[in-house]
Amino acid sequence: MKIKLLYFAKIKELVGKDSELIELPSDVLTLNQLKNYLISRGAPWHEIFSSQTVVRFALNQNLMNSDFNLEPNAEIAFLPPITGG
Amino acid sequence: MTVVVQTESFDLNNTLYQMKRNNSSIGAAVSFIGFVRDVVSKNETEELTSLFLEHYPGMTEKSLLAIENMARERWDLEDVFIVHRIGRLNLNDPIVGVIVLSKHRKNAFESCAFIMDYLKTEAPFWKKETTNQQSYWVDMIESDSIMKLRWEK
Repeated sequence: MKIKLLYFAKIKELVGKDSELIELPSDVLTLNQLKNYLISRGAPWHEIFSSQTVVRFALNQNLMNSDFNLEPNAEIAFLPPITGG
Repeated sequence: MTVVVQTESFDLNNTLYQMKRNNSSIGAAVSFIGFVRDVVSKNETEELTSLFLEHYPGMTEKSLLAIENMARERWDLEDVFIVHRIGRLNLNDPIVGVIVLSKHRKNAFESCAFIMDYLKTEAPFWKKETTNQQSYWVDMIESDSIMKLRWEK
């Protein structure tokens, strides 16, 4: 399936872009599997997930608190620690 | 019921009196303004020169409305206004403003603090600080998560 990934703040700088559309292998069906898939693509993903750079995830603009199933055309955002206000 | 994300500055007093107009049920107004201050989060010896605020367009507005709705479910409120700035800000600039109008002061005081505690931990904004020496994204602020916990029973 194809999904859209959005990157913000420090993650955007590490990845070098603010979003991308990616076609996932058929065995990538959950957020955790997506993380492992990205790590397997190499730098900078290992650093992003092993440090506290990404701390939360949003699926279609809703904050998610645990692993979730991916769906075709989903918008998935990787969020650094929130520091507004 | 209004949430605004903008690059421009804001005047809460003007907004507050416009919201108060024609509503004689309102007996209390509480407002909060957060400003850019001189101390940086990482290193107290460096001086902040400017701040950059990034957000997640679409989700930010949804998240601020959700916070307002949570406050309205908890307290009887007449009206709420939330404004948050994005982009480049300078020392002493206002960053965030909240107005809560209610019949009595208790609801307005409590819900204004509640809205700020949730905004700090749930609304997708990110601060990048620039000092006279370097620029960096601000790390998680532990005390903000603790402040939010006081509302969770």
